Amino acid sequence: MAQPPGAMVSQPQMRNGTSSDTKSPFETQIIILNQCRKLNGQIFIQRDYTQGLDVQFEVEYPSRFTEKVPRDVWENTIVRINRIFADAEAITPQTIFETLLGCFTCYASYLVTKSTYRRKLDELQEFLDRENREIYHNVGFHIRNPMERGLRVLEIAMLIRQGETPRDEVEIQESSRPIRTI
Amino acid sequence: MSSPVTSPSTSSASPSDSAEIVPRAQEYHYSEPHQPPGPKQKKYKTHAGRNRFGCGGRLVCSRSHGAFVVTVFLMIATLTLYFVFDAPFLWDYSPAIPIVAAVFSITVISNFVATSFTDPGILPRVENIEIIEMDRQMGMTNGHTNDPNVQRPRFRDVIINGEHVKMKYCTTCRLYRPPRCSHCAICDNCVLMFDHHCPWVGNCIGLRNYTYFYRFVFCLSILVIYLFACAVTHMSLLAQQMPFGEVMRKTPGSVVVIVVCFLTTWSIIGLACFHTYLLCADLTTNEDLKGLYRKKHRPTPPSSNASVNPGNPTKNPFYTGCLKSFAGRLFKSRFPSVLDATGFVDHQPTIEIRVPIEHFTEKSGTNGEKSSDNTKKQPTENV
Repeated sequence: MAQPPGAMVSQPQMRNGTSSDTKSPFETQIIILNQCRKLNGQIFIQRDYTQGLDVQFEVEYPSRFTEKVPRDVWENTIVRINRIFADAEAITPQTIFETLLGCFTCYASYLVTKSTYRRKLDELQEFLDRENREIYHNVGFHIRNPMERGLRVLEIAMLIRQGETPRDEVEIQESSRPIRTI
Repeated sequence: MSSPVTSPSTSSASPSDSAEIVPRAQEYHYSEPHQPPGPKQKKYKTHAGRNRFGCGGRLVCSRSHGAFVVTVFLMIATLTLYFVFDAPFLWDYSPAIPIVAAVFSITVISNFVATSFTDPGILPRVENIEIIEMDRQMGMTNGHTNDPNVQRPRFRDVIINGEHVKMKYCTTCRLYRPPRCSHCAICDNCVLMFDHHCPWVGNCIGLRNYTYFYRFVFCLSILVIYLFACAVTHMSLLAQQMPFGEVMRKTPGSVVVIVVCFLTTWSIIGLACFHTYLLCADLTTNEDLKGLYRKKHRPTPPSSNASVNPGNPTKNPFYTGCLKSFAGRLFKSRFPSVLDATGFVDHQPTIEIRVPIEHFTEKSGTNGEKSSDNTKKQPTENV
């Protein structure tokens, strides 16, 4: 995915790790997620069950991304995540062969080979790492792997950023859409 | 399973279905997780459900294993008697006869082991921080105040393929159960696509081990008929050469095989047929027993929902056709375990980010401390 517009980053970055005016080199920081959650909260993107139980997440634009992440950038990210899960759950000749091989080897093949789903999850992790590194970290967000929440929700942690104050303790956390309760 | 580790159990009572509103528990205050010193602990050691784990969390089974032991004994004993008494005799007629029995036996045992020791799709319990956020999303709490009188709705409503489906709140696991997920009172876990708890295999049957369970039951029904036929054939061939009393004295194992197979055949074949029907109808045992998609149990919804749910209110929203349902349950790639029992507990999850130095600044925390104290800065790194 292409680098987001320059407005999203504090200063345009150059290949040597310094900004164009050579005042702002890169540095590596260790961010403690629990503290970010405590101060800033997090965004939960809910599962989309409209088409059944296949793992899909809602594509609606979270309001907390406003003026930070362009709508099309977010849509590219979430659509790609959903596509990876759709590919993982599809029935293909490869998955049929994988299943039959498991049957014929008394599932010993499962010990030495990665399933299609597992390979797709590795692909998802690589994709999220890249998206976070290139886009979301720069604007103070971090998309976590949905496996960490049991594939129930997609969590986006809000990092502590310059010029922002921790959200008011009384403020109501927004979701991608209101949760319907009865 | 070598040296199984028994996980600590929390509340044993399954959530009651009578109350329409669930009171909030009082343990949801946010507290900074404490990272204990020493080596990291594996997740299965802190798992709250009633399960046994083996091989460092790779094997999962239920704690109640009385019927499981009976199943193992019956299978091993019957197969041993067959291969000691019947197989050598039938080998002389055709080596293929005992070979087919051996192949089916291995298939049955491997599927049985896979069913018994695979995580059925256990959902991990929800962390306090997520519950606080969920309450905020619902607009039910103010900040970190913890009023026990504030109540959480018992259901969430989702529309699946035009049908209204209620996601019930699980008071034990503290989450809204995904569709087709149910809480097993025996294992004390929410299990994805929960079918039933099978005491005979000593595990829940759910999303991740239903395939193994179906293959086990299907192959076992064939094997039982096959063993019965082989034992009867063996005895009838011997009866042509000697009196029946002497036949029984010569091959007592065959008599036991015939009796065991005759007594178990009906229930096993019935179970195999029932699960074949469930696969074709894309139902779970739990849904079928509750009669969720039968007309008499599902009255027509009010006219306000007519646009959302036109025509047929008894439709199973998950049904996509007989063949697709069958193939979908048996030939999809293995769903990964969301329990991650083999992973390590991370009390202080961290992420490493590379940003310009001025991007993240010192901020005052809740206790007036600088948040930069909690972020270890490492030397500047060039690309």
